[in-house]
Amino acid sequence: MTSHGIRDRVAIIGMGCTRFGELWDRGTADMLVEAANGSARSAGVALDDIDAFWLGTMDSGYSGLTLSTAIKVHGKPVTRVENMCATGSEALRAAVYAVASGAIDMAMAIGVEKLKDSGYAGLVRVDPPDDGTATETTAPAAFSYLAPAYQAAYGLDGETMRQALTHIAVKNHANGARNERAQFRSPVTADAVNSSPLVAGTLGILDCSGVADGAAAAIVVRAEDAYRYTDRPMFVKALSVVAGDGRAMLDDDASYASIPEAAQSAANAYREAGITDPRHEISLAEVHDCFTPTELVLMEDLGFSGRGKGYQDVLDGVFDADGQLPVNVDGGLKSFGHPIGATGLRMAFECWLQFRGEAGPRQLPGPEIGLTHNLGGRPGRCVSFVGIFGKSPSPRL
Amino acid sequence: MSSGHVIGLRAAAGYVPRYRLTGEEIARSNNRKGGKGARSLAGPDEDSLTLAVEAARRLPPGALDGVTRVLFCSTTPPYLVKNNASTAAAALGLGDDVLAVDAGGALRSAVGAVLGATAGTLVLAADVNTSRPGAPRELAHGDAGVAVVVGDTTDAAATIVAASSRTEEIQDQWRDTRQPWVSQSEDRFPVSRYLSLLADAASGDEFATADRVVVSAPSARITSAAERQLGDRGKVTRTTEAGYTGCADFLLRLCGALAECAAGQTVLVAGLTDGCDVILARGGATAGTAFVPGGSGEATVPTYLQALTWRGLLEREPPRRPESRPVSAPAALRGAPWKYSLLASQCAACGFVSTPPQQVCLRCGSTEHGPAVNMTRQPATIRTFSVDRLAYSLNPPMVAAVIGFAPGGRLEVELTDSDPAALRVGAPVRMTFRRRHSSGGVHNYVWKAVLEGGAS
Repeated sequence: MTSHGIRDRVAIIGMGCTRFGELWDRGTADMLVEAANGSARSAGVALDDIDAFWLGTMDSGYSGLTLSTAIKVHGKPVTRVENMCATGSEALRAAVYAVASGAIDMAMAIGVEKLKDSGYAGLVRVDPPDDGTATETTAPAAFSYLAPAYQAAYGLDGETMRQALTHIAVKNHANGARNERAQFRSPVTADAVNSSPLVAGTLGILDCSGVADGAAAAIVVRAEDAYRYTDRPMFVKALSVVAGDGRAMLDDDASYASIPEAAQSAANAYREAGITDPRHEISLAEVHDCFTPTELVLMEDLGFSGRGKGYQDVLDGVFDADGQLPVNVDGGLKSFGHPIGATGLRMAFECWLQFRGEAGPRQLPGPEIGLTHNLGGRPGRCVSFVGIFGKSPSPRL
Repeated sequence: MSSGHVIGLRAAAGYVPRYRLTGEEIARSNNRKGGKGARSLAGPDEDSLTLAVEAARRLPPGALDGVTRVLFCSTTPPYLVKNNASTAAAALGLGDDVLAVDAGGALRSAVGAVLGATAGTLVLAADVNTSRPGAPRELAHGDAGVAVVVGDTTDAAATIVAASSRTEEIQDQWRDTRQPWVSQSEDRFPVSRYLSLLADAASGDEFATADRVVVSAPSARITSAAERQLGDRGKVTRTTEAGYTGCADFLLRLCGALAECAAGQTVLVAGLTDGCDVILARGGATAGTAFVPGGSGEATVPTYLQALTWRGLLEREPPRRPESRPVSAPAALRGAPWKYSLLASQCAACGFVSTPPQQVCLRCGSTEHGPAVNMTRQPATIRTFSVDRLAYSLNPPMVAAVIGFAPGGRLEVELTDSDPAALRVGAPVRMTFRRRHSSGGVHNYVWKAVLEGGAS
């Protein structure tokens, strides 16, 4: 048994994305309406033309009703999906696979999260009742674990590690400053990152992504129908999800200097998309930079850098906006914050803009292949998603 | 009562927490000069139950073999109604065929438990003594736990060869159960009464001389007077710097004195609460190793504000995070072998050790289990670590680590009693039983880790 993938069988014909931020004046329904209507306008279709909907949200509402009652879906299937911080990508995957199956002609994937109403700092998760034995570290601490383990694995001193992490933060904020939809639009200096108040381990506040509200949506159809709606559709090359078995939390031989689920989901996606040299074939990557060490180890897990070489590539500017492989050219989670259900679709939205030449001051020259990487959970216990998108269908089609 | 009944003591161990509340620190915080004295102070995640468990974990290897009864004594038990001894027995890995019961909330309970015990009884005694700020006892009464294993006379490392008690109805100290602190009467009136009870109880020939004389009394005034009264019987020794440690005090001092005993030497201990208890104990050949005093390594002095916060006398703004959830009682019952006894599962097919226990083996997929593995004393090493400044903790910031156990098994743990600056990948840790938090009136006991060399 194997996963064959759906290379070039489905295309995105329209996308919408709200501004991300502390949207005190906007509720979940407000954001859903904006993103849904934005994607429909972009595709030149009416919401009534859509046959089925997948809503991704972790905590902003139960069931498909959260969407159907907001945008007034009449007599259509609406399904809520959840896969922690990879929820938005999971909604897209469900919609794309439904269209690929031939069961429906047009589907919407939409993700939303309203985080700022909770009144809490950071992300808050409502877990089922338990025996109280789990150590309740917060997300910044769980991801800060990567840093000492990475340093120990590759003999990296604290100062070099700090420079690499700071480079990532400075890069992503500089990118986000050129994006009107980003939560944070001010560039930050290395000094500001280095001296930001500590949150967990060696991570300061500027090593962490923000907490934001937002929504994003995509409309998908079979690839052969795509040009009926737009002259510049975005082709889905692969959507790969891996749910980890908890190995790094159980098996003392596992390395904490890596997120193996990310490497596995990337390998699957590359196989399905026919990518053999990711660093050179991929034009842009939108990765899950929830915290700076995450982006660092992802460069290795996604195959952009060799093991133990990621920090050097980061410092060499390989992943800068003008580097060999721009990573998070839209600003990433660092600049956007992380409205959980929306983030995966926001990543795809940047690929969409870049392929269409609509990325404004961030526009890259002639991008052909985009990668999105979305991570749910924490190192050791996580789900990882990798999506590959293309400007064009493969030559064989 | 005076009895020729001989009680064998197989082993005993004390535990004095590493923290000290000092007169100097209290003076500093009140903008005064000077300040003298110090007492032991339980950490923010310690209570009388965890102090008692830690004391028992310091018993020499094998001391708990054959224990059939556990008696837990404390004037400051974490729970009333619910049996605290059950938790202690589970944490100590004793089977469910042990009779484990709480045995009283008076200062005198622990002495009574030992004097009434049969062979195979583990007596646990501990207190966390909280005084109202400024009270005379604030620096005189400390926190500690002690564990005593009563054996028969054939396997005893020491024997209580004589015991004599007097009981008096006297209202000199008490605690209203609705108050965290002890009230006391004017402190001079009981002195003469206690001295006459002591003279009477210790009048027998068997108490005429001893190598060491130890007095356990809540009042410094009574302690000094009693020591003077017994001064001609033997060398008066004060064996703890923790202060008067409540329910644990008598046995902690007995344990400390026996640890110093050469074979055949004797200790006379007089306890002066609600009457008088006098015992004469004789050390055996193995007393030096069977009795582990509650000695401390390097002491740590928290600020007075921290000390008050730890005891709930000062409420600080919590982090802007949800409160920790209450423990689910059914889930805790299902998971008790792991939660309380730290028993890992081991795959019957490939031997892989899982912490926490897993239904399916990660390595080979087998669902067959071999014998569980007790992880409470397994050597472990830090794989990675963090200081979490956002998480809820009784003593923020939370220090957390991912550790690997020597026989296999990896676990994310909270560290306690550890200096964050000393954290490093590869550092050895050991496990310790602590209270993580309390929610809805339910205390969440968990196993945490301590940096080796990082605690008393």
